[in-house]
Amino acid sequence: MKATRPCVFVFCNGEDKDYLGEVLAGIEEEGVPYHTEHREGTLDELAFAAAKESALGAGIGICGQEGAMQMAPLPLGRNVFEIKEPTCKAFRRLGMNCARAFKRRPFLPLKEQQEEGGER
Amino acid sequence: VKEQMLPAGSLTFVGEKRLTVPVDEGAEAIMRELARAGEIKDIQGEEGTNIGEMLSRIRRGMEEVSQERDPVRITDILAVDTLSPVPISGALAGETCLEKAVGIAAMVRTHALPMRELAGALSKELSVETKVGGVEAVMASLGAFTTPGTTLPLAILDMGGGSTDAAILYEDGRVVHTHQAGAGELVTMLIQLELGLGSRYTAEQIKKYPLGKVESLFHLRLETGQVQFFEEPLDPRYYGHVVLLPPSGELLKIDEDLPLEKILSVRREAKKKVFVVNATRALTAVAPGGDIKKIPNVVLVGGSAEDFEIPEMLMEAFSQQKIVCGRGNIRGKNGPRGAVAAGLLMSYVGEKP
Repeated sequence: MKATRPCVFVFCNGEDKDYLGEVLAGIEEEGVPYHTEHREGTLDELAFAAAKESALGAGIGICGQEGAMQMAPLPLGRNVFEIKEPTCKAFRRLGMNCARAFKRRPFLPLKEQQEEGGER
Repeated sequence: VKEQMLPAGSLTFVGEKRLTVPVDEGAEAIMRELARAGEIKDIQGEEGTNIGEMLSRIRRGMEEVSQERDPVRITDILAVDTLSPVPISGALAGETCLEKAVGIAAMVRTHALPMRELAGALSKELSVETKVGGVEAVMASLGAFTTPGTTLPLAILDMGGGSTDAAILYEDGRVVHTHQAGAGELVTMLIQLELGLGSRYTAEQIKKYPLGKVESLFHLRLETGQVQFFEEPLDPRYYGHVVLLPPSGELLKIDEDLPLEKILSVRREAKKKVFVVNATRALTAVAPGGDIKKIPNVVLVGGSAEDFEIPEMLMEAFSQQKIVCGRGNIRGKNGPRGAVAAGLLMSYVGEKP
């Protein structure tokens, strides 16, 4: 692992290249550095490890067409966000939210109009 | 394309003196002229202007309710300087510009008639004898007197939603009282206006509850700087948001993207501009010889006396005149609420042969 500066970690296993691209674009849009690498394991394990190892305490796991974002103190499997229906927008938002976790900014819903009342 | 501007207009105070002041001169000038005019018989707004329209609406509304043949009179106003975010025409991203504005609360004088009609209707509906009890300030003083430890003469400040009243109850049973415009509702309006909030309900909640910022899934930082930790992680939808902390414990999210410091400052300033100003005005009006220093202590009653910071603000403001003020505790258990109700009951019982 060459990354010496704090950044968001994205751990991938058999990832869909387009969706990975969206995640990275989302993180970059928020102006936060990232680091990607391949890891073995399930989606939950990837997200958990990414959050744990990142100095910023937030990380993303991408496994095939599934993606999840995790934050450090939370237990394995209890991901902050999980993508149920893969779309480019959802993965972009996943990236953005991971960056926002570091910036202490509010999260965006992964899907428009689907969140609980009040969220926009 | 024709544009018609409605000018702000001027206020005319008809009292011992007849004085006119343009609204544009600001709250300080308006309140100064109001004080100079002496005992007010009526307040009028210049016809064809914004203030004229506002006061006419109030008069018409009251006339409808009271169905009076005598014209309705406006006997007090409270003017408050404020800033209103006005959308900039041609803006691409909803930009606003803060413009000076004057907020006004008005007090209308009514005849006893509507109350008697109300009592009659209640009597019919509930099959219970209903009586009109008398002057609110006198009842509030009686009720406040049930606070353990109070003695006569007793000064009270009744801070409600629509009005701020002061009264002094003397040992001989005499009550000196005043009834002034401007209270909780005006504070809510100022908060809504200055923060550009879409909903008055949000403004009301901001008025009532302290603020916090969610800094991680397990802690938030209160407006006092204190940190509050949680055993279980917070719902991610609160993350990074400014929230309100009602006593029930359930966090309330503020949708609008406003920094905590700004909301805090607007909330405190709004309360000061209304309650500290009005409390001073009201106590001066009832104080012996108009000298507020002659009042050694004041009992605070009314819904706004329950507010978590208003009593302290008043305490701070009055400490310079060596006046001590504290929340009432009606019947030793109700806190500052129910003073008027307690007073009405006591007055009724006291009158029975």
